[in-house]
Amino acid sequence: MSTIAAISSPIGAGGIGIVRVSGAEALSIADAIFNFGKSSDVRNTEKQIWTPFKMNFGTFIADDFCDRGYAAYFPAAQAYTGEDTVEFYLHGGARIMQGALDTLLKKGARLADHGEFTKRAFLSGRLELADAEGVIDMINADSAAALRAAYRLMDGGLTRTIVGISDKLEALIAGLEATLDYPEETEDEVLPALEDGIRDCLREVNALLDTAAQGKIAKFGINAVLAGDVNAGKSSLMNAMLKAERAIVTDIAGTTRDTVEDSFEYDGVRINLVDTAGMRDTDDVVEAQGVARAKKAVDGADIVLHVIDKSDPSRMEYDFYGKRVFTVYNKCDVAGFAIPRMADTFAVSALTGEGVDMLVKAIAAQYKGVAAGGEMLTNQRHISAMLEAKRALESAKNAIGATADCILIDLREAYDALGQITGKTATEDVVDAIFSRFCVGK
Amino acid sequence: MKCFDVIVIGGGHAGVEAALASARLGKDTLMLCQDLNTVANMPCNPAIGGTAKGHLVKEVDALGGQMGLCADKALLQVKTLNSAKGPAVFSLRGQEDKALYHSIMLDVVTNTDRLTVLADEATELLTESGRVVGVRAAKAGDIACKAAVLATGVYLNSAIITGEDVRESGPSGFASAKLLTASLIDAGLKTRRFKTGTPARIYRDSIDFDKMQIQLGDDSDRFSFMSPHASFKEEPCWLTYTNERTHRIILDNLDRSPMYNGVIQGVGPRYCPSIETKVVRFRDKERHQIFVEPEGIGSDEMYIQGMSTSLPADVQEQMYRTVAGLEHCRFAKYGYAIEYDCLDPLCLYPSLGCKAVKGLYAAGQINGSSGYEEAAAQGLIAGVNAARALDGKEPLVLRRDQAYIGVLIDDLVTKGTDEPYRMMTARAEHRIMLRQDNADMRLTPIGYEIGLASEERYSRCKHKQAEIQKIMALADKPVDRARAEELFARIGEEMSQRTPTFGELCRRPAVRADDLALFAGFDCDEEALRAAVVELKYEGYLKKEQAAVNEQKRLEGKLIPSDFDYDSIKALRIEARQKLSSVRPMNLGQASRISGVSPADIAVLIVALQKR
Repeated sequence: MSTIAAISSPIGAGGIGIVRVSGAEALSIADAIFNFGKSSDVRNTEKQIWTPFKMNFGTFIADDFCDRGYAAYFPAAQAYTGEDTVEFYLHGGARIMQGALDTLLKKGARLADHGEFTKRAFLSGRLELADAEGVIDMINADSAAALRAAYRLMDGGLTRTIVGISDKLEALIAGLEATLDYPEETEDEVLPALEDGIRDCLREVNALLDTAAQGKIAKFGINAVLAGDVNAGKSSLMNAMLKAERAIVTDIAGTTRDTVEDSFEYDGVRINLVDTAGMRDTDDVVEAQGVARAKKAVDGADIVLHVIDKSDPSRMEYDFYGKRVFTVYNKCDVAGFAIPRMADTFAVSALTGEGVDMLVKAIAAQYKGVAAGGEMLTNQRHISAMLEAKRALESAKNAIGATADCILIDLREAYDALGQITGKTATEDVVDAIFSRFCVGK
Repeated sequence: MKCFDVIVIGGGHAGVEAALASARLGKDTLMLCQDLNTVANMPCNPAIGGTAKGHLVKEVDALGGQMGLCADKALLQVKTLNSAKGPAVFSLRGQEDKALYHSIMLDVVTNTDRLTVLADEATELLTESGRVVGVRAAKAGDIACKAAVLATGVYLNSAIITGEDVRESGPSGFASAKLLTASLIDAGLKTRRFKTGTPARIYRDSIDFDKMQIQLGDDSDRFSFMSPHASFKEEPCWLTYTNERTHRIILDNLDRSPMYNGVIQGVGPRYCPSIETKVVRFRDKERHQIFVEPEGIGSDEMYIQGMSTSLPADVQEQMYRTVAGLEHCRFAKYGYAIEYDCLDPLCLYPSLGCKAVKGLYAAGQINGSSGYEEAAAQGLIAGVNAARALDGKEPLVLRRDQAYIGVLIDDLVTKGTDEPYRMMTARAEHRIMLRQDNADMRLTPIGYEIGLASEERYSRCKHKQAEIQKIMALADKPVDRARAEELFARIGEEMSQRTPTFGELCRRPAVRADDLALFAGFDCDEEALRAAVVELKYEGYLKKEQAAVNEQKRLEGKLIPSDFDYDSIKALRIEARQKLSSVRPMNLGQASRISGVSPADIAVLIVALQKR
């Protein structure tokens, strides 16, 4: 039984939101992303002891944020679904709920179908309903709404792209299947190259998943994280961009100890600024915590603003591991820096406001620039399906060299995953494809 | 005449398995066939098995059926297809001596206790208040029975078409059955018309074999788990090709082709397209393969596989003679298309019992399938279930993860079919579990439990199971290092510092089952070793598949009452209500496979079932 996850509380309403994961792997997934206590460090090997039914206070570690809340474990024998279930009670609000769900999906859970928790409850003989009709209405309302939403969110370009990947995959599968069911008659046929085909599909799936990041920006805004040496003027720059005195600014290096967040809108794009503690090796326990958080904030950044004091060029080495980085030279009123922008390098003065607008505009353009390219994956169900397809394709890629009957298990799984969007199924449609593509049969 | 427990109408591949199964389960059984020469007749290709079909034969055998045993005794050639493509798709195919196969099977049915074979035509099904009570025969008159199995093959109202020549006839010149269809319709069954076809038979001495490539078998295996690996005299097959001239003649004569000028109305199979269909649909293809196969040791006819046609005789002669080696060929029989009445299999339960008539079962081509093996598989299940129903027992329904037979029947009765249905490995989603090598492990215990598989068969199966477990127990134990070094040297691979375990050796792609016998430390049963190595080699995939199966099994376990009123559930979409009412699935698993029924519909159904 696959492990499923879903947001179980109404989105956007209420201070507390619930995300639920159910299935054989529920506990191992939960354990990997939830720390009992306040540590946000990812534990690698040691496991925590989850006492059934106990509300565990702890930290939910998502890709790009951490949230404090509670998690409770319901063992299969007593859970609603009859399977191991873990529920997370986090701060409500779309951003955190979606982020928590994303994290569960990335760890291997599948997005639950409408009514699937109920379905599993029934299959385990656990469903006791006073008012079954109510549940039916809920399932129907839910799926109708989801259907409408899916159609609305799915533009023609996106459909074409996904169908295109599915067709490529279908050609690969039909070719392989034809050789299995008609070994003698396909000797003359030219078959698509398997390894290249799988790589192609995987590349396109990955490209589409990348657009999901853009979709997230559309929904939640761009995360711009200010990072750099102590006393480079990150907090001043944040205030300058916000046009408000949000962060405390002093001349003392290391003033900012915790991350400070705020957001504003520019040209229709929400920009979430995160000011961080200046990075340096420090003996101060509080400041060290701040530095660790700064690193975590960088993990979740869509763009890193690496702030450098132009008047004091000595600086540490930074590694922003593949993130898009804007190098921002601050205090250029002091240093006298003429050119305001060269590629991803900016010259600003937080003090006079010079060059700040240009920087803000460039940050906002990160969204529009890519979005103008065409289709974007925004629907959670589509993202979940694409993630499944990706996992199956990666597994197929690793299986190259194995016999066809094995590789096909992965390829068909990927095809079925895309089928959640295209409506095609690996049994019927593949058989049709064999006969439309190949002259086989005696 | 006395009242029989079960009457089987038809003595083809479905009929004989149904009759044998019923008689072997202790039922007084009558098998009606128009002519004793039609018993286990092979009117099309002289071969049994092949991809997915080899699996079916082994499954029929594992359950205690007859096809594999007879096929092994009438072999002309045997070969494992797909031997390089993975154990899930290893498929055994045997060229068969048609006359010998027929006479061996006739001998079996006429010498089986409680089985009476009568050459007579069934003309009417006798029913009383929705229940079968007998069969009216042309000569014998009314014969009473408690249950009946329809296994009429392609004989119902069949018409044979060769160009402009259309005649009422069954296959191979046997008479068609013109009367039965009407009483089936009266009984509430839905019929339709399908089409299939066969190529010409050419005299052996008129073929120039020097212009063709010889095709030999590999003597790798036998169909039956009970057959000794006995030797037989191998007959070669031959490969040749069509060419542009062949295609030109076909295209120039399309107006005389019944397929294209509207004479043939029936739906033909994509699975065995006529040569005219191949040429029209794939115009770019420069040549099509033609396999020339012997019909039997004593026969001077050769079967021309790949050139099935219903073109007029004169066009057939012209086009066949364009093929290398057939330039001077003489025709023993012309190719023909055959149209026949069959049932819409959606009118059947997974037991193969008819929904409209109690005690009536159907198997084989009448259910819209094609192929000897598909017929035999359904025949066995229909025979078993007709017998079990008389004892008040639950029907034998195999799941899709248990057998190709399960996939075949589920596809037919759940999805229906718009063309003659052929078994394919691509249809079996749990293919990696449904292998030839484990057909006995999967099904013999079931066959034994229902009383069809013999004591001897069962004890062999148990012995093999024990042997497999003995070998599997070695999985985590390190092997003898010196021997492993020898093996690695031979396959040209480096061995690491650590001595590999038996399981690790198995999983190396270059290592074959035969290489591993030495490492067991005891004498391994060859068959068990092969099966164990597959289990170990594919452990990861098998586990993954098992997880998917478990998910499906939970749905299969939730039964839907047969009188369930779908129309009363207003929350179901109308399309779903209609589909569910028409198929009347036995359980939620079957319901979930009906096209037009969505996961949301299933969720609604679940809740409604719970409410009941």
